[in-house]
Amino acid sequence: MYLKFLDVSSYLLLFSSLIVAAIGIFYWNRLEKFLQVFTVLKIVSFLCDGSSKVLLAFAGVNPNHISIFYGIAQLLILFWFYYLIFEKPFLKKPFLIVGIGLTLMGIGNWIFSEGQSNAMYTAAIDTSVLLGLSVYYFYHVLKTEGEINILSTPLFWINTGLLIYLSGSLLLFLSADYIIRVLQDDFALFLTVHNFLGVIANGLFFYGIWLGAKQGRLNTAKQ
Amino acid sequence: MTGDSQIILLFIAGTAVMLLMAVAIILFVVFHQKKMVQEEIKRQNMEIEYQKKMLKAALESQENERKRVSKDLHDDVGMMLMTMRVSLNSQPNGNSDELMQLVDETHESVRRISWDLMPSTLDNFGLFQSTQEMCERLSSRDTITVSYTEDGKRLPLDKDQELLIYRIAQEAATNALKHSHASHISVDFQWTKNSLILTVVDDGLGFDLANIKNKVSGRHGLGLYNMENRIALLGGELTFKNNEPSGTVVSVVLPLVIHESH
Repeated sequence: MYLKFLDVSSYLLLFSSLIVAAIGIFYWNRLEKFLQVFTVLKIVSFLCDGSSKVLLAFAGVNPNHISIFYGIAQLLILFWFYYLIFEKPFLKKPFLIVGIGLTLMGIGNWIFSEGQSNAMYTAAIDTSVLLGLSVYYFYHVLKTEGEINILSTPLFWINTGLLIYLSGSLLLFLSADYIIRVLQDDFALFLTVHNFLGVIANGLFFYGIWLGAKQGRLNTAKQ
Repeated sequence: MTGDSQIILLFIAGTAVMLLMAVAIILFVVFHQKKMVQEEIKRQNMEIEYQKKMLKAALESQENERKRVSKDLHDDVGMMLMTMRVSLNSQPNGNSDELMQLVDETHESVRRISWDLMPSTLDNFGLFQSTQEMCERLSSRDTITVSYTEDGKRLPLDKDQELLIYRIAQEAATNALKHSHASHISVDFQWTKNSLILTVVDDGLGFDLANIKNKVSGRHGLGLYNMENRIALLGGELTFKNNEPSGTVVSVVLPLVIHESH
């Protein structure tokens, strides 16, 4: 029963990722560097989701490897994204250390788990770290940007999207191994929830990038 | 309820709690930040209000000092010169004509300085009469003609506003007289429904806008600086434009709040 929903939701997710990536590419020159980095993430996301679908549909190949690769790419790109946002040189070392550590762990899991479900624990750890960064961004905003209307900043919308997506996905990644082993039939339900969260997040990312492009145009006009 | 459905329920509840927490964080950030922005705006407004009060006090003290000097010049020095003239008149000496002329010229200068410092017409007859008189006086001093026009239906002004607007017009006209090498200057008051537009136009050399801006922001031109301060007190806006074919247009838009009388 859940499979139909899963299909619809996965196509919706793919389509929404494409739209976000497209708007980012279209307004590339107007975007600030952190938004360009985020656009790269959405391009990678679309390519990975798209190739997973193609592999599964036409070659019958399990796309777990692509998912794990995407997990690592997402972690690295989002680390870069948050490093650019915080603009604090002293964060360079911790970002590098944690980033390399998590990447090595991801690669290790990838190799030793052979692309199987227990790599989800790495995804859960990555998600927790990114969730922490997302919450820290809001704390950073409250401490530093008291004079700006936060709703008019592209970063607010992107970070909101990330916070909603990551907090909704954390439990899924934590329990994925159990669900796959014990509740095989119901896994589609969990993935559907994950996909819909992704679609909501993509809507927020789209608005954030569009806002960034609009502000970039105004800045260019002022110059 | 089976164990499986319990787990599903637990998962859904857990995810819902996580999402609720995320939404709570977002809402907290939005509302807290909004509050911070409002407080910041309030603080800035208070600061602006305080600066305005300080500026008003400084200008008031400047005006009071001008009034005092003007009165002293008119009443004391003027009176002494008049007495001197009367006593010279009664002297049978032949040198008295030259001295009389000197005393007359000094008396005229004192009267002019006294009037410039604080025109008595401003207190007695109001802004428009005194501005017209100022234009006539400026015309008679040099070879430049200074004309005065007024258009539209007048709005009520209080004494402080009249004094500030008079000083702005005086500064703009004097600046044009001193620096523009113009042959004609016009001072125009135009009333709209809720504002007064003061325009001073000359047919002189024109100006370099960047230079003027530099002077205003760099606080080098004291006259311009004072004019800007007075305009700020009235919540107005000052613009400079080049006049066609030559000269400068100084335009001041002053929004006026109409106080309804009950």
